[in-house]
Amino acid sequence: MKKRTFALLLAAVMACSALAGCGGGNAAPETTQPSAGPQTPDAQGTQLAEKQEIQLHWAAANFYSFDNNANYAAEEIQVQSHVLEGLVRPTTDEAGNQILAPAGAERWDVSDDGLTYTFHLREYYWSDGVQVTAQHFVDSFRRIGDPRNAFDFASFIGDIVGGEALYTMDTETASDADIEAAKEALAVKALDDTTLEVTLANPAPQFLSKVGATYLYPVRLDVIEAAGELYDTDYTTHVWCGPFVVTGFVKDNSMTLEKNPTYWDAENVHLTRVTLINIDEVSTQNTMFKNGELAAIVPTGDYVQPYREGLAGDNYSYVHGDFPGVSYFYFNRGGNSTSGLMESQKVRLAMSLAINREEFTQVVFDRYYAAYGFVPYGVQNGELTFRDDVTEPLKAEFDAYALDNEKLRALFKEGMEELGDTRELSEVTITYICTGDTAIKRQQQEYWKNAWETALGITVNVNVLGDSSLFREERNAGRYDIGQAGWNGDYNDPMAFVEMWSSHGTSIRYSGWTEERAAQFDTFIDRLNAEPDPAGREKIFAEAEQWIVCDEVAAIPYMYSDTILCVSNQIQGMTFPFVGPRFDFSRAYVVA
Amino acid sequence: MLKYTVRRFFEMLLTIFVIATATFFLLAAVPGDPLSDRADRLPESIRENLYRKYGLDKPVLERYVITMKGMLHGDFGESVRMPGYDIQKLLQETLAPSARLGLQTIVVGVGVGLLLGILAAMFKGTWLDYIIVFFSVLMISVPTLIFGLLLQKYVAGEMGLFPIIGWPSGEELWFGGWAYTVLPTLSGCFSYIATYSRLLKTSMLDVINQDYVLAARAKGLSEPQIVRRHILRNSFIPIITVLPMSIAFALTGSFFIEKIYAIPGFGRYFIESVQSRDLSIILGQTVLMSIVYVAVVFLVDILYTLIDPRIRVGGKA
Repeated sequence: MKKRTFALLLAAVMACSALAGCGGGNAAPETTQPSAGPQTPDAQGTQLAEKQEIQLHWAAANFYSFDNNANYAAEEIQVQSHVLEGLVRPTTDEAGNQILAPAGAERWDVSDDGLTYTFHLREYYWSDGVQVTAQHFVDSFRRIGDPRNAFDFASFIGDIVGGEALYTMDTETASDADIEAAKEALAVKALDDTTLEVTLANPAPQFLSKVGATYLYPVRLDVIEAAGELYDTDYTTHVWCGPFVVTGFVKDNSMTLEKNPTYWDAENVHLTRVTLINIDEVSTQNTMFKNGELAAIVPTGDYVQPYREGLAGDNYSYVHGDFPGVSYFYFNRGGNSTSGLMESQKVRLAMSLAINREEFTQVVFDRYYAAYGFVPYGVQNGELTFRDDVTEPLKAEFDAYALDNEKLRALFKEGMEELGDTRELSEVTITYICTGDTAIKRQQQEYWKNAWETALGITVNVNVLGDSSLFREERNAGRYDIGQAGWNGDYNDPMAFVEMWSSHGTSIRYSGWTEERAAQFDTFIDRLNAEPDPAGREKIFAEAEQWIVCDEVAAIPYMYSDTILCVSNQIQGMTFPFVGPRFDFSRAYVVA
Repeated sequence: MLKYTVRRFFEMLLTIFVIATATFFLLAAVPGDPLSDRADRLPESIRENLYRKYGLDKPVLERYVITMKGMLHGDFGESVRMPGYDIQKLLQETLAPSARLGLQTIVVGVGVGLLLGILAAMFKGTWLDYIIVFFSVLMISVPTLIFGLLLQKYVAGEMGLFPIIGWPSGEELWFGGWAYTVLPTLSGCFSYIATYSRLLKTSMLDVINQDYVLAARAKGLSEPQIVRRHILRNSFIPIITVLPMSIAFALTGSFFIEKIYAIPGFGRYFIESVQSRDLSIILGQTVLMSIVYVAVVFLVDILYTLIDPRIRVGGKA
């Protein structure tokens, strides 16, 4: 599954090119990691401003519901992570490393076999004075898995014993009693008010990262029942347990958060009021940021370069960090590809090696990173950062071919001959489907067409569909050879990127994949499920990635996402978690 | 007149029914549904349950019958994209800001436009006329979006005369908070100024050459009297045709202005609900707009007879 950050929402709407960005430019981005994490004002010896209020842009139209189990959009997570408190909180430590900090759970024990998690909750309260208990988490886990609710992120309980059986129930055939029984059987137990025990079906270290997602934050069934139909839309029917409470909401326009005086760590929450307001026009955001009316801005498109080069003034810090997203091409593997050539591994590999990723990211976007693997920078596997340890699998192959047209054409031709196709390369036409007719999308489409035609001597037919629905229709009918997509990890683990190619994943519908291929890939998942040790997992992930991009060439990864933010120097202590909310302002403060 | 009114009323119902049916089937014919973007990346079992939850797994005709039955009771159904919202609730929360913006825009735009139109006609061929014509062409050629952004950047951002974004709410929803409304109103009114000044000028020039104006002049009436009593009244026929449409259009929101100034209005839903194939909201909007327009057309027909007694309805000559 995929989190809809607004950059990737674009990908959903216009699947052809996954990320918006700017055109032109020349300098490659300098990489600076997000600044060091929460520091108390005292530690820095700074003076707090009298008025602790900030304003941030927030794409309000993507906020659909106050129900944290029902959420699926980044803008919803941005709010929920500040008004609710789950077991753990994704944030950064003082050195800038991504961590899962103890939050509602003071501490937790994991059994030696990696199967049983016991969370010890701290004493903390909802805004109506009721204590947050382990049962509220049990209710949340059962509710999100209830197939009658059809919540998008139901599969987040899939690692738990009974989880998959629950959320995959067919609501047509299963009776209410069956479903209730399956909810009871879910291995999440409140041992007492402050002890929560979760039993996993397999040792799945990524489980802890999922628990950090707001979908699995606690819920109050009595509040939900009392609110009835208004639970989705009316904040006054809700109670809160996070650093802030909601005090105002104008649909598709703005939300006001105020400090929660009963929050367990209220002494470290300094902001008294945060206004999240929808400002659609980037130019308006720019005007407001320059006037000091916005605490931070996420520059996009043509605004990236001036902000990077300091042309927008000197009263802000420019943050450039990793982001768990990958853009890739996939193939029509349904046996009905337009050219009839997509069943050849050599043809697919030739297409993957024929593109110059470095040049593309630089010329077209002037940001992002060239991708020779499927798992982006910064993704962690326990204590290990995957990309730091594992060389990108396509790199060696790419260097061996070195964009040599003769060698690439020979490889492509060899693949064709294996399929019994004796045509000349000049007679081959590959159909590439995509959406989007903005300048930046056109530029990308032209770039790819030109790259493949020049390197391989074939013809590339670019079929630009009017919108994502038309695109899907064309894709599902199999009238293409190659398509373009983007994927964001919902939790911080390489599993979030490899799982999509398994039988449980979404590539069967989303990326030209077939059940047969997925079943082949399942062997990696089975091995991962039996391996609790991060070092052992890393080896298996590396093999799986090698299979995806080299041995099988299921996809042509070409670009990893990044994140660019500018934060006013007046605001300190803001962090930028890798997954979860884009801004964590729960411990931020305004300096005098 | 009564017979005419009753006939028109039933025609109105028929029109709305036809429009609703056409909208439903056109949307059904277009690929995609409100869930497809979201469901594309979900595991199969969750996807199926999601479609079932919203009844989108049912055949088209069955959905049509369900939708039409609901509409008869004023129930357009819950939005799929925005859980907990139906068209009534959406209108209740977002129509007021749009309506105020629309009214202010119309009052300023049409008022100034008519005034300039009169001046241009009366001083035809002079520099004043040319300036008005020049600016009218300019105003109608530059999109609202550009005016909005420019005014915002310079007048609000650099000079700091007005707030950059925002809209009065609470007690100030209808009166008060004027500072917020100045730039949005200005950005919106240019196209009305241009349209109405040109329309009135052309119409007045037609009338000025009529025989009865000559007769009035021969009677020795003063120029202002001629303009007020004879020329203006007769020149207003085309204005009456266009004005109600403008009002209906303006009241339901402006997509661009609301976007630029972060106004919590209704305009954005015309685009968003179609993009997301959100059937209940689209149907609600279509029917609402049809009612407004059909009613306006009816009203215009009545107004004609008041302004110009020569126009009669009901078959009697």
